[in-house]
Amino acid sequence: MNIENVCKVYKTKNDEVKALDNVSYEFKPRKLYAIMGHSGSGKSTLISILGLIENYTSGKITINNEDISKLKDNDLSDLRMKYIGFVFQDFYLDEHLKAYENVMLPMLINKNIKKSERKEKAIKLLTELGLSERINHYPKEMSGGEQQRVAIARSLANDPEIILADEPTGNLDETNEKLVFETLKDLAKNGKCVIVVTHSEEIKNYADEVLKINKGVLEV
Amino acid sequence: MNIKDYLWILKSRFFEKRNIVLLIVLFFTFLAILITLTFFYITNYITHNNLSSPLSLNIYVYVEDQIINDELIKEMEATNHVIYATNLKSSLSIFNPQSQENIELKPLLDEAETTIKKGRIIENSLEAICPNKFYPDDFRDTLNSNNYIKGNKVIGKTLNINNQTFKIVGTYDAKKIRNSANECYISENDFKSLPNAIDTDILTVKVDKIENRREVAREISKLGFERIEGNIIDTNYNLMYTGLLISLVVLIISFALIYNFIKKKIRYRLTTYGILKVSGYQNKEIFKIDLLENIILSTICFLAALLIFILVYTLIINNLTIFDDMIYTNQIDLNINYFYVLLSYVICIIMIVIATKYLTSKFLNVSIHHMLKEE
Repeated sequence: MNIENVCKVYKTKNDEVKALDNVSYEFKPRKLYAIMGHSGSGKSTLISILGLIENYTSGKITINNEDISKLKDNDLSDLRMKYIGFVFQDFYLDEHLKAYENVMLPMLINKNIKKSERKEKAIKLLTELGLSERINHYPKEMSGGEQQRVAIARSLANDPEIILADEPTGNLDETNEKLVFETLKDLAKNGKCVIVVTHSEEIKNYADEVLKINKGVLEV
Repeated sequence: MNIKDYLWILKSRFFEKRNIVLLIVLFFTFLAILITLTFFYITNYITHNNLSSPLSLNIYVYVEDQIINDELIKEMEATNHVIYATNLKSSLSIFNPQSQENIELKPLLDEAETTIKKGRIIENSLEAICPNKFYPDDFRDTLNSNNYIKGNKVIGKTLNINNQTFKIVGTYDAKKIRNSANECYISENDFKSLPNAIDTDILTVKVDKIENRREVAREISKLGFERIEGNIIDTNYNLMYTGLLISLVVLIISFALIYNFIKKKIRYRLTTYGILKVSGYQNKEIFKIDLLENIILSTICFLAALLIFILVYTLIINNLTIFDDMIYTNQIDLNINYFYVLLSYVICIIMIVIATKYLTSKFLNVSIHHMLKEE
């Protein structure tokens, strides 16, 4: 994924806030990137734009050499399905669905995954992430760390090339934090491009590259 | 995605707390719509069958300072659109103290007035035709539908009129011409022989069509008659308009309620929809999920409302004794009209579709980032 001179400006009634200021970078597979910065530095805005869930004011973003700037909403949805998996600080699991059902949810729109394969694939992903005993459990029956790993499994449902994680350990204790970072590191080793936004210094033990962002400017 | 996939997503959500509230709101809304549209149907029926203000084809001409004779009658009958003119009274009340029967007798001046249902028309003297659902009483007591004499049992019955025995030779459709259940016809000559049969002051003029009454009244007034009476005003649509207005108000309020609750439901689900969009779901897929859920909930509520409506409505209609005194009840069709039931369902679904479409478009067209922050 390549971003060139990306700017994001929020306009308020009386003012303009530049959340991102000419950010350029090339993110490659098989690497774990950590984006770090103070609150309000623009890191969440950056990862939202990378995840195609937030618009940007100017600049260019390409994924596999495809310029996404002129794509419409439906096309962006397709791109997210194919290339991007997202993990959030608040997990955002569906409380009405069991663990494997949460993982299956993104597969429903993927025509490349047959209906008969969905459950099996979901169970396999959960097992690989050490959750074989939580397959039939609801989110409220799991710890924070387990829920976050279910969320990671969900992000992998359609086998995307890019995994984005926005403060994935923000609500977790130290032990679970390490577990999650290890999981993300393994994903990078297995060929994914993993980009993590975090406050935690612990990430430095896992990241291949650490990027700092300050007042919307990416310091490489 | 196919419909099974949509149902799979929905299966665990149907009995969410918010859906229970929505179910209750929809139930009462749909019940209100059913009641209102039925009310509209009844008012519409009454208006278009002229039951609220029965329109008569008769015009009554007050003849003052003149003798009613054959010449005058012929002059009236020469007027365009006049079927006949007569100085016979329109009816006479005949009470038989022995049988306690009270009959309203009318002269049969125009055979086309009556549609014979059983038997035959009057051909001879001392013959009569009576309603196919005959009730020879004065309605002082509550009219009991079990006391009607119906169909073939009417024919052959005798009526004692002015110490003469008349035989009923046929029955006619009283409902069609809005006659009472005790109004019988005898021949013009038989009627004339009855005491007080002739009116000395009033000529009854029968017009061929409702819409020609005004013109006939105008022509008669040109002949020098100033006092002409009869229900010459046009169909009174006030009742129908009232029904229509109430229906529209109920529909608007219903739509507002449905819109409001669907809006709350979508707002509550915004984070969930945000995650679906992050996973690659398009807006149309999320709209379909929401729409399917709302249609299923609506159908369940509609059926429940319909069941309650049928039970209550049937209970009310079967126990309404006030109608027993109204001789026109057999003219108002009070059975549930299932076309209007279907129409109610269609209207409900249309409202659901419009509200869901508009609201999902509105809420899903913000950035996903904002959707996820909406908690």
